[in-house]
Amino acid sequence: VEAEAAKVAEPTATMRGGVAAARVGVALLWIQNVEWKVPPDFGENTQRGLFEWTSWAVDREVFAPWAWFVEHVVFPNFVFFGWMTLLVEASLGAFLLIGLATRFWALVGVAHTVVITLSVLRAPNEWHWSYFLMLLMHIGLFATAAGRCYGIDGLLRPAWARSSHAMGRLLLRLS
Amino acid sequence: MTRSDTTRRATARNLTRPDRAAITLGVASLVSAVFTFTNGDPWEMVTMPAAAVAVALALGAPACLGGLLGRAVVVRAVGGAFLLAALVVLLELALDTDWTKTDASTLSLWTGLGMGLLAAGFAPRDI
Repeated sequence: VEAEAAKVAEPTATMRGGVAAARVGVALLWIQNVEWKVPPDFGENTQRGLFEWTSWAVDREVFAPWAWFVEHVVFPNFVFFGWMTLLVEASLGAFLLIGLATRFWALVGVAHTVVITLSVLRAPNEWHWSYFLMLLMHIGLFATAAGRCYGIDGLLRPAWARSSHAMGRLLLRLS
Repeated sequence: MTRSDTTRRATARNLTRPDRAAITLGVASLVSAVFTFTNGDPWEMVTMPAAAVAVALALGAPACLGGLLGRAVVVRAVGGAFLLAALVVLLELALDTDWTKTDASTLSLWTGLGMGLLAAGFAPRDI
């Protein structure tokens, strides 16, 4: 009876497939949207692209301390923050796509979504639920440990669990 | 039962989980070539100019083959090649050149495929 109970409590292929589809879908969100973060100036000279979107944090303030930070820290170092944005978003796309260290990257996604939300929530013609849904999707990927469903985490966690390497133990925690 | 049926069944029976991961990632690379036929939002998820299509096909096929034949060394080599291709895109972005017509979306995809194939290639075969 216990074995039968354990069996019915296991996630089905449909459940695992749904979680994997959500993970890959969110990865494609980041992959598609990193395309318009264009170096070397990220739109600073033309006041377009990432620079324009970042400027909404000041022009249409959502949260005063964040607006101050953007105006006094981000704008004077805009190329640096542009590169950070590009690398974080490209990594989010890459790691969520294959499901490697997924819980860690889901938390990075939560943090990055909060940053985006604080910048553009009041931008013209934006639907606020886009950002709330992004946030909830990343929380969902973290909560379900989505990389364990048809991802590299699911493939390698048994090896990490029996590894005495610090990296193996770390990846076990991040997945 | 024909000889090819026997071979096919034997191949399927011997596929390990890392082999299947390599095949999946190889197929993903081959499928990514379809984005060359898309233009802009909403369906152009990844920028795939002619040079990127060539990379996707040239590396996707051996990734599948490496998985099918259970050759981890091939899977590792393809993973490394994808990371090298991603590095070229990153250098292009940093140097503000555009000779492959790729962008950060291509960088992201190839980084993922490269990391995934390396993980599959180095994974223990008994898991």
